[in-house]
Amino acid sequence: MLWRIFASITFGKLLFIPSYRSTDFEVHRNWLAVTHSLPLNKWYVDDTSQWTLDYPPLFAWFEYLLSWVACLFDPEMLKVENLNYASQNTVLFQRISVIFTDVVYALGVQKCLYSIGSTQGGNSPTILAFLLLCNVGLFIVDHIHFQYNGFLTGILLLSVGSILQKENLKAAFWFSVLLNLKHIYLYIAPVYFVYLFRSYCIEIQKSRLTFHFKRLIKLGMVVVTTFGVAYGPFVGQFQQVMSRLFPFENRGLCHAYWAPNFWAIYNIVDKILAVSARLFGWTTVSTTTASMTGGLVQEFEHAILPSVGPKTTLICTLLALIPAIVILLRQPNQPRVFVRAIVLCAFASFLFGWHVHEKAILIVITPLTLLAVSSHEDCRLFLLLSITGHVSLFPLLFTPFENVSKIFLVLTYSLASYSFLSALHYDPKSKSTLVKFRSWERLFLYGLVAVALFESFIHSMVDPSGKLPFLPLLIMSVYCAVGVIYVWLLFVIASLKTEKKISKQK
Amino acid sequence: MDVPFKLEVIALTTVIIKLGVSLFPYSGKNNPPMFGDYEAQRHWMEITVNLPIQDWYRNTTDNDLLYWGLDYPPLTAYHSYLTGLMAKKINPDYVNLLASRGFESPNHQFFMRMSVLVSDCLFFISALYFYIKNLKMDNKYKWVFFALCSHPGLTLIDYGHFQYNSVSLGLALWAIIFVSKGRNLWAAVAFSAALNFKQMELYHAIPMFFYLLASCHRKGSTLISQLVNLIKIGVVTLATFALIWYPFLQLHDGLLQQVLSRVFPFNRGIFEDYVANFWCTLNVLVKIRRILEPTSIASYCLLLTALFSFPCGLHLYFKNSLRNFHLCLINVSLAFFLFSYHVHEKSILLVTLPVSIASPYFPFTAFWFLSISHFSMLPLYAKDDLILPAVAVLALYCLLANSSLKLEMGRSMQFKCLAGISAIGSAVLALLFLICPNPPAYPYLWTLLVSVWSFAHFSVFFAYFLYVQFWVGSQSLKLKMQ
Repeated sequence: MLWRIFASITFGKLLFIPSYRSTDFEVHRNWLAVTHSLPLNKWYVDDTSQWTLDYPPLFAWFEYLLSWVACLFDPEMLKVENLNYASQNTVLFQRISVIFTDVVYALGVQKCLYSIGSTQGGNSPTILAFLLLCNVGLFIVDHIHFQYNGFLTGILLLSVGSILQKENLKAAFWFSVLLNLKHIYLYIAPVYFVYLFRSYCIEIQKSRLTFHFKRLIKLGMVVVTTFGVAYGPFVGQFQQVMSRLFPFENRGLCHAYWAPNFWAIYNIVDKILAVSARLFGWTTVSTTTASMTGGLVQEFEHAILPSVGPKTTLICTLLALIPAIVILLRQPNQPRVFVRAIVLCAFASFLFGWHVHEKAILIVITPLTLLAVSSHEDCRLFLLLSITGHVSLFPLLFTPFENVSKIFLVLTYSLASYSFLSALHYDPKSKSTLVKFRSWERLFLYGLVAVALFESFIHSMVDPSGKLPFLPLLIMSVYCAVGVIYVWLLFVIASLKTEKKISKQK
Repeated sequence: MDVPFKLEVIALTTVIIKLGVSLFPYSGKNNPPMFGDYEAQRHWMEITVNLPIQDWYRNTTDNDLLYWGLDYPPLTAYHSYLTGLMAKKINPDYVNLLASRGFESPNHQFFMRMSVLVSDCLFFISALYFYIKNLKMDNKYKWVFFALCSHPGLTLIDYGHFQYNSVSLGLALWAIIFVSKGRNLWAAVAFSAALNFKQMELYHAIPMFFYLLASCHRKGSTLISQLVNLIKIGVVTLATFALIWYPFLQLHDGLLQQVLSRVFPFNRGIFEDYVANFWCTLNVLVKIRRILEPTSIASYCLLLTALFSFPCGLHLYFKNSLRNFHLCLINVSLAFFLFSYHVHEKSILLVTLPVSIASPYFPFTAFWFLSISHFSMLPLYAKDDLILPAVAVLALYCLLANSSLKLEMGRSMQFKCLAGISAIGSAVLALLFLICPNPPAYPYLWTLLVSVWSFAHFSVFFAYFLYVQFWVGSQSLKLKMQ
């Protein structure tokens, strides 16, 4: 069944080959060219294109491998100086490479299904396979916008699936590979660190603590070897590679379009305060610094509230991490708790991180999907977050066709996931489903529909001259931020509660 | 509890598939001076928006009929007029008289594609949704039924090649729905509208006529009430026609004839390009057009078509039931496709509508037929550069409608072998068509083989459907999906 769903969605992806593609298409084409035609020591140095290589080495190797297939399609795309080259075959090759590498994603889903399927009978494996394989966020970001997140999420799921099956070393291996493919997954590294250390290296039986030093060595070997293989060839240029991977100095608190996180709310509160201060003459603060350029300029000086630096965001993120660490330490060796911790950790980084991209919400949604099939409480949160999170991706697509496509895609996915999940959590006693939204959650979703329609169509009709180009983005990110934070709070409470319940049972 | 297959989900999925196909090229893209069907539709908007109604079908200095002159009945013209008005509002350049010829900016393409989608939702998808939603059937089978009805051929022609078949087929479907609800007057209105959107709806006219005629007898007990029923239907039909043709009737003499001669072009050939019908296949063996005069060809066409369709109609008249109505629709439209005059390869879509509606009787056969009808249009897709979406949509179709196959695949070994041969044969032929160059002596060899192969299928299907209508009792043909 998994492969049938995968085949269906693959043919669906093929249909969207000619759609709009973002500059990420050119980014990846350039990386193909760089890795193919330049010597190794130039990979992280070359700056012919403004889209320099800024992913870790394994991804560069991945592009290198792809480039040999690309040769067969159109060798012209592999020339570094051919900026913005997009012949028909180039498009075809790049699109198909994303579609094809999604096989890794399917394998990852399969790995997770083994363990979920064995504990949960009935339709839940099929539904889980559908929810993951047809994830509309990945569809939008990978197959329209253009990126390789499906492949990367596949590796993440392989790693999570290994944990679920208690194959800890394998999990560590896959996660190290993942970190060397895209460093954004550092977001969830603390969970791996704590889990593997607490559950694999330490054993407490009847209040006797045993430390497995051998296991720690094995673990260390796996991680060090993977990193060594990846970074080995670049050992002389380590500094250069790092400066590419972490370009802190020229990035602001928020991305051009504010990701729907805590800082979006922070920004808007600051704006409102600044504007009302000016209106009522409370202060003499010059509001020019906060004049509505938010979104246009990445650097953002707050007018009333204190400005936020990278250190503050780090502290906030670490504080938000506490629940994840707490549940991991209190309940070692519980793969399900591990998944919860991953979600909590990804939430923390997404909500409080520095310069977060809106796409990062997918790192929260995919692991949360694994929980949605087993408890109706998590299922409700999953539905809320998946709808809000996927709608928050809307500003990525703004061309006419894609404006229509994105709405139908998200609508269909949301409706399908709701109808499948509500049937899965059916309560024969009350003869109704256990997945029930509260009245205010319903209200929030209706509002979300209005915001989505405003962003996609109404704004361009009301404001055709484009005087307020950032208004829809502002509304979108602030509105979605409310939803994401709400789900996060509920999820934190639910995690701590379920954890209590289990400990009482013991 | 079983997974609930919400009908809305599959309906939305088909819309997404259609949106995906819309991204691909259309007929005549970047191909001056004549372009293709996309330009034809745009041109009709230009003509109807800018010229007075009496000039729509006439050759004037502003309306060169040799450049995609209107050749569909007035309802299509009105539809063009409405979409044209919208186009004018969005950007007057879309429909500027003469100056807009060959206009195809990305925004215009978006507008045109959306006009198809909106028309489809208003007429076809909505009809299908209401029809299937109200059937007494398990949710799962409703899902399969909807998927079967959204067959790849219609998607590719409307959203790839570019036409508005979903409007005329949607209206015909509404007529079928009204018939099944016993609302014969509404059925007459809907069908008259369909007929006035595309004259090809005549393919469905004979079953419609006989069914409505027979139902008049059934309802009234006395002769008078039967007669009243008949008159009611007649009046409603005439009124619908009169309403649609009103502007052309009251204007000066000769206009009606002019419109009719545009709509029924007897001066065009017996078939266009290669069609998977009887005449085209016969033409391989005997060069008909060298032996016979065009007028006598037309009369042979009429004779053969009538020979096959009227018995089906009469059978429906004497054994009046919804099941026979569906089967008669299939048989008559297939007879028209196989034997009538001036048939396009796209006309197979008129057969696919009743086949998909009747698919609960024989899901696998219907699926098979619908896939072959898609295959028969392969040369057209190749011309329009639509091979990738054609293959992808067919694959999706097989996967989405797949659960119905198991229902009937439990049949005999011979049946499975036959289906296997058909699938492999089609695949091999498609590969030959796409990869191998034609031998120089026969520049259209593969195209011809595709149409002969499809014709072979259609004639076997025809025999099967005739057999089902005449010899399979209504008891033994239970709805397999229930």
